[in-house]
Amino acid sequence: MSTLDDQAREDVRRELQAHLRLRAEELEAQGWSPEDARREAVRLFGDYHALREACEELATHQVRKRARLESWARVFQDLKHSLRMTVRNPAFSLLSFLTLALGIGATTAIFSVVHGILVRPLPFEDPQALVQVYEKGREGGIMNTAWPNLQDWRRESRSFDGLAGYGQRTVTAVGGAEPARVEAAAVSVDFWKVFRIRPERGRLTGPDDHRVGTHAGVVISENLATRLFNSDEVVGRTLSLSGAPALILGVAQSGFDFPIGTDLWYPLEMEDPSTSRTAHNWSVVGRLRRGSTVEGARSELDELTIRMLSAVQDEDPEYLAAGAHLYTLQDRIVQEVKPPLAFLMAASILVLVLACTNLASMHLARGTARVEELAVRSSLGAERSRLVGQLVTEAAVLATVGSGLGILLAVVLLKVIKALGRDLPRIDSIGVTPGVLAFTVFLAGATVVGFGLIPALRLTGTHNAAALRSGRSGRTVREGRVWSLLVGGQVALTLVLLVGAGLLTRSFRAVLSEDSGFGHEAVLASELSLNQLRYQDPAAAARFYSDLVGQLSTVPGVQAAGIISTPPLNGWVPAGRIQIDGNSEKHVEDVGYVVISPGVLEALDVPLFHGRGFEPTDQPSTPHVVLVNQAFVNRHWPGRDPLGRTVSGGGMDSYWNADPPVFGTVVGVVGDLRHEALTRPPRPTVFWTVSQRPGRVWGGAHLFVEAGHSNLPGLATAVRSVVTAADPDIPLDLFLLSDRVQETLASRQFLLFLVGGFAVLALVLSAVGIFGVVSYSAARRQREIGIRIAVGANPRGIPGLILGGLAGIVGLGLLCGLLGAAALTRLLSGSLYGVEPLDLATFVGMPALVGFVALLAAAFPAIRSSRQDPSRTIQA
Amino acid sequence: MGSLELLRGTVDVLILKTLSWGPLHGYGISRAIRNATENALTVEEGAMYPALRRLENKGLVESSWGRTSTGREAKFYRLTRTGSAALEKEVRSWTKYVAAMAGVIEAEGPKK
Repeated sequence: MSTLDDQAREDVRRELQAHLRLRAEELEAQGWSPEDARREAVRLFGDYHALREACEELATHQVRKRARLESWARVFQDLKHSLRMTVRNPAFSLLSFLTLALGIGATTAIFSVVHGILVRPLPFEDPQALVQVYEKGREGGIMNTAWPNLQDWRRESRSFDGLAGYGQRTVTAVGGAEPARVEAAAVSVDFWKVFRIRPERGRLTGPDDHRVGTHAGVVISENLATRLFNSDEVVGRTLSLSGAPALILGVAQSGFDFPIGTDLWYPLEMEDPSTSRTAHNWSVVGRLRRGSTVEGARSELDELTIRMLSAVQDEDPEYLAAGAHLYTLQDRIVQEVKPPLAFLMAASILVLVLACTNLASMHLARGTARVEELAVRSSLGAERSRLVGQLVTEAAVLATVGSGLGILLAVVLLKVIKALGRDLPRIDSIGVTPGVLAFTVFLAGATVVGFGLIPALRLTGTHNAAALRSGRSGRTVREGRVWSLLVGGQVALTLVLLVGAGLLTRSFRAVLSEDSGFGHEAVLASELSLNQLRYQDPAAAARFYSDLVGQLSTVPGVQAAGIISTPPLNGWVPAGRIQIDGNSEKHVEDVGYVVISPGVLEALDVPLFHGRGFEPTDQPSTPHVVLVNQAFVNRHWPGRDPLGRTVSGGGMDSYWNADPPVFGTVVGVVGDLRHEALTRPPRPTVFWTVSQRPGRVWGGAHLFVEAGHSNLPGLATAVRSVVTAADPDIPLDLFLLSDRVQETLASRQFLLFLVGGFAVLALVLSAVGIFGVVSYSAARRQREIGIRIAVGANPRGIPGLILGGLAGIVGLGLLCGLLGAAALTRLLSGSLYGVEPLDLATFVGMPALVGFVALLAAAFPAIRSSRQDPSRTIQA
Repeated sequence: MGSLELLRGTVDVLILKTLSWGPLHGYGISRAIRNATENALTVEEGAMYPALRRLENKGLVESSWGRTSTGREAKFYRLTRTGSAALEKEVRSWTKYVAAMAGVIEAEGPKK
C-alpha cells in the first residue's frame, strides 16, 4: 500500500511542478525575467500546499480503489479461465471431479461414522467419569458381578461417587392401550446418581424403594409414557409387569435410555437377587470420584475383592472373582467396533490418497503438457505469481466442485451405512455434523495445496525456461521419480485394501458354509411372554403351551409347530455342570439346558439321528426323558450307544444344582442346532420336555411355526388369531426366522460391503491411474522409441522395454503393500472367522491380482506406442 | 467587465467542456478557460487540479503522462464516454438555467 501511496504523491508533485514550469515559460515569453516569472506562476497557482494535499488525498484514494478492483478482476479472470479449461476438457474435468468426489465422499462418510460412534462424548453429564466394572475371573476373564460383591465394593470403595448394578430384561407391560414388550432394566439404588439423571415428572426410585420385599415402584421413559398411555399424566398409574403389579413413580429425564434402548427401570431388589458370590448376574456402572483414575479405582477394587473373598468358605473357589476389570463406559460401549472402524477409517483414507495421487498424476501430466503454454506466457511477461494464482484457482474450482459432490455422495453412503449397520452402537447418532463438514473443508483445502500449489510451483519453476529453449519439454530425472512413486504407491495402497477385502470375503464364506443345524425356510417365529398372574404355577404354563401347539398344528398350512426355551442363534444358551450316567459324583461342564415341546424340532427341521422324539405320553408322572445332540454324544460318549444312558441338569429352574440331582433317560439323539452363533462350535446340549420341566418356560418361550405353503402373510394372521384367542395378554411380534438369520450376519455384511467397495474402488482408480501414467510416459518417449525402431530395434520389444521398467516399480509397490496389509489387517482379526489375519491364499492371491491388473492397465498404452511410424515421430 | 467569482461546481463543467475538444494537460486546460472567458472568470489556477482528480475518481476523465508540443512532460487528461454523457447533461441544464435567468432579468416588468 505504502508504495502505491508514494507513487500517487510523486504523481501529484510531478503534475503540479509541470504546471508551474509551463506557466513560467509562458510568462517569460511575455517578457518576464525567469525569476519573476517563476514567482508569478506560484502566485497565480494559489495556495500550493493546500491544493497539493487535496490532490494527494484524492490520488491515494484512487490508487487504492484501483488496486482492489484489479485484484478482484484477477481472481475473476482466473476463475473464468479455469471454468473455460473445465468446459474445454469435459472428460478430463469430469474424471477429476468424480475421482475427488469418490475420495472425499468415502472419507467423509466413514469419518461421520467414526466421529459419531468413537469420538463424540456420550450424552451424559461428565461422561469421562463413567466407568463399567466387572469381576475378573481366575484366568483374567471378564465376568458380571455377584450381588454381595457389588454391595461390598460399594460400601468399602473410596474411588466412586456411586456404583450401581443393573440387568437388562424384556418384560410384558399390561395396563396401557394394549400389552407391550418393553425393554427394561433392574437397577440398584445408585443408578440415578451415577448418571446424574433428574426426573422429568414424579420422582426416581430412592433408598426406600430399593428394599427386598417392598411394593414395586418403577420409573419409565417419556417414550414409553407416550407409547402406553399417549399421555404425560402417568405418575401414580399402575402397570402389570410380567404379572406383578407396579406403580409408576416417575418419568426419567428426557432422552435417557441406558442401557441402550431401555424404557423402564425397576429396583433390582424386586428380583430378590441371589446372595451367592458365584452368581455373576449384574452389570455394574460407576461414577469415578473427582481425582480418582481408572487405574487407581481398579487397583483399589482388586485389593478389596481379594480381601473380601479370602474369608468366603462355602462357595466353589473356581467361580469366585480374583479381582476387577474397569473400563470407561465409552470405551466399553465401542470396544468391539473400534478395530474394524479404525480399519474402515484407514481404508477410506487410503481411497482418498489414491484418488488424490490419481489427480496429482493427471494434473502433473497435463501440467507438464502445459509447460510450454506456461513458459510462453511467462516469457511474454506474465509474473510467476500470476501463473501460480491461475493454477491454484484451477485447483480450487476442482476442490469446490469435487468436495460438493463428495458431500452429496457421503450423505447417500451414510444412508446405506445406517441401514446396513443397524446393530452398531450409537448408530442413530451419526450424521454429517458441522465437525464432519469442517473435516471435509480441511480435506478440500489440503487438496488445493497438494494438487494445485505444489505442481504450480514446480511447473513455473526456473528450469522450465530451459525446457522452452531446448525446444521440447524434456523428461527430467526428478519427474521420472515422481511417476515411479505414484505408480508404486497406488499399487501398495490398493493391495492393502484388497487383502482386507479378501480376508473378509473368505471369512464371510466360512461363516455361510457353517451348518446352522436348522432349516429356516418359511418358518414364522415369535417370542411368547406369559403373564405369571394368569399362570399360577409352571404346570399351568405347560398346559397352555401344550394346548396352543395342539391348536396351531391343526391350522391349515401349518406343517409343524412348537415352542423352545432358547431360540437358535440366540447368542447364548443357559449352560452349566451336569451329572451323567446316573452317578452323582461324575460330572461334565458347560452343557446347554434347553426345554422344548413336541413339534418344535420338526418345525426347525432338526434331524433325529437315533431313538425317538418327545411324545404326549411323556408326562410329569412318567420318568423324565431327554434328547441329546450329536455334539454331546461326540464329546461325552464317543463310540458308545447313548440311548438309555442318564443325565441330570437344570437351569433357571428348581433343577439347577438340585440335591440329589434328578436324572433323565436319553431316548433320542438329534442334530446340532446352533443355539449361540454360526461362528461358535455346537455346544453339547440336553433337551428336556415342557411337560416335565415347565419351570424354565413359565415366564415365556419362543414359538416356531413351519409353513407348508408360501402364503406366509395369511398364515401369520391365522397364527396371531389362535394365539390371541388362547391368551390376549401375549404381545405377539411375528417375524421370519430367515430374517433373524440374516440379521446375525448383518455386521459382517456391513464390514464386507464397505471394505469390499473400497477395494474395488481402489482397484479401478489405480488401474485408471497406471493406464494414464503409462500412456503419458509412452507419449513422452515417442521420439526415443521412434529412433530405436529406426535404427533397427524390433518393435515387438518396445512394450517389453516400457513394461520392464514398470514391473520393478509394481513389484516394489506390492512388497510395500504386503507389509502394510500385514500391519493393518491385524485390526480385522476380531472380525475374522475361519481365516487367519495372515492367510496365505489371500496374501499370495491378492498381490497376483493387483500385479495382473497393473500390468494389464500398462500393457495397452505400451503396445500402442510400438505401433508408431518412426519416420513421422522423428521428423515431428 | 469586472471579474466574476467562479461559482462552486462550475469548474467541473468548464473542464469537461474544454476536454471535449481533445486531450489536454492541466495547464492547457487552465489556459483555455482563461482565453475562452477572456479573463472574465478568475480562478486560482491550481484549483483545477483537485477538480481533475475528483473527475478522474468519478471516471469522467482519464489521464496519462505525455509530452507537450514544446517537449515538456505533462499529464494529459481525456474525456471518457461517461464524461461526455455527463457533460451533455450538465450543458443542457446550464442552458436551461441561463435561459431562465435571462428570461427573468430581461423581462420588461409586469404590464400595467
